[in-house]
Amino acid sequence: MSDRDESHRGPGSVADINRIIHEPARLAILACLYVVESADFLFLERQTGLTRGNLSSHLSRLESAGYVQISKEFVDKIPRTLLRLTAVGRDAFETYRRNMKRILDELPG
Amino acid sequence: MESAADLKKLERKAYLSYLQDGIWDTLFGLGILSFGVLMFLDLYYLVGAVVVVLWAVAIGAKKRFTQPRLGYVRFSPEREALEGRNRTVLMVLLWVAVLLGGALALAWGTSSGVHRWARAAGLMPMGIVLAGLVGAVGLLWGIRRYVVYAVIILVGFAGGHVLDVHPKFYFTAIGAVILLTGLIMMVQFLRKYPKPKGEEFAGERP
Repeated sequence: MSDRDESHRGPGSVADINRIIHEPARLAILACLYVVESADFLFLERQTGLTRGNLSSHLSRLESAGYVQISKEFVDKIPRTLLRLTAVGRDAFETYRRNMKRILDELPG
Repeated sequence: MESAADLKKLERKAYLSYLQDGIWDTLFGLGILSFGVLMFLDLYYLVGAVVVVLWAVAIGAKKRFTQPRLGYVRFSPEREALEGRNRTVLMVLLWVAVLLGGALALAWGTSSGVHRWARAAGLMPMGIVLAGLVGAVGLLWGIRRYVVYAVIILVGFAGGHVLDVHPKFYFTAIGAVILLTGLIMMVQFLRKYPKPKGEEFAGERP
């Protein structure tokens, strides 16, 4: 790798950005789940403003990445499908935030 | 990009969305309005029953009205702790108000000075306590409209006292204003969050 390449691939480079999280809809979902303990599908739909189909496909992607856990629980005797961030998802989101902050801080001007 | 401050705002927005349904406002306004109407009808003794009924309705309404439209959420342990602290502070304030009322009632028969003061003050102490409690709810939970309600209550009681208006009039007026605000909020909430069609997304996995 050349010096020029190194300068572009150092810590905090654009290449380090987690592309799963970087997608705006998925970022909105993760940010919403990051600030609560758990929520159901409808709550996420209301908070993110995404359509059902859109939300569903992004959740599947996040679940397959191991960032979101989907479980069925009884709350007040009502079965609910609850979504929550996994420890991996929480770490990935925090790393993403740190990386983005570093990249933006390093921008000239 | 989400900064820590933005995440706090996001959490607060999610939390406050649960308080935008107008249920508590409507029932609180209805409670005060009922008090005024019962004064008109000379049925003071029914106030206790009205409070119990409204409280029971309020508890069930969140589950039946708000959750099916807004979805279910379990907030963070930090939020739950803050919620618990706020409730404790409110209960302490409520008990202080009850104890002050009790002390006044005890002093009523023993001291002519208290008697004179109470006559001169009329229902103003009650108005100050009620406004204080409602204002405390507004400040503790960060809901500005409750601070406005506190001001309305204070102005209503003070105006009624100064103008020597019978309490039934200002109780009814204050209750009507708060009830109307609650109903407007409820309509806005229903428009913004209609009940989702079909059962598949009502808390179920898509």
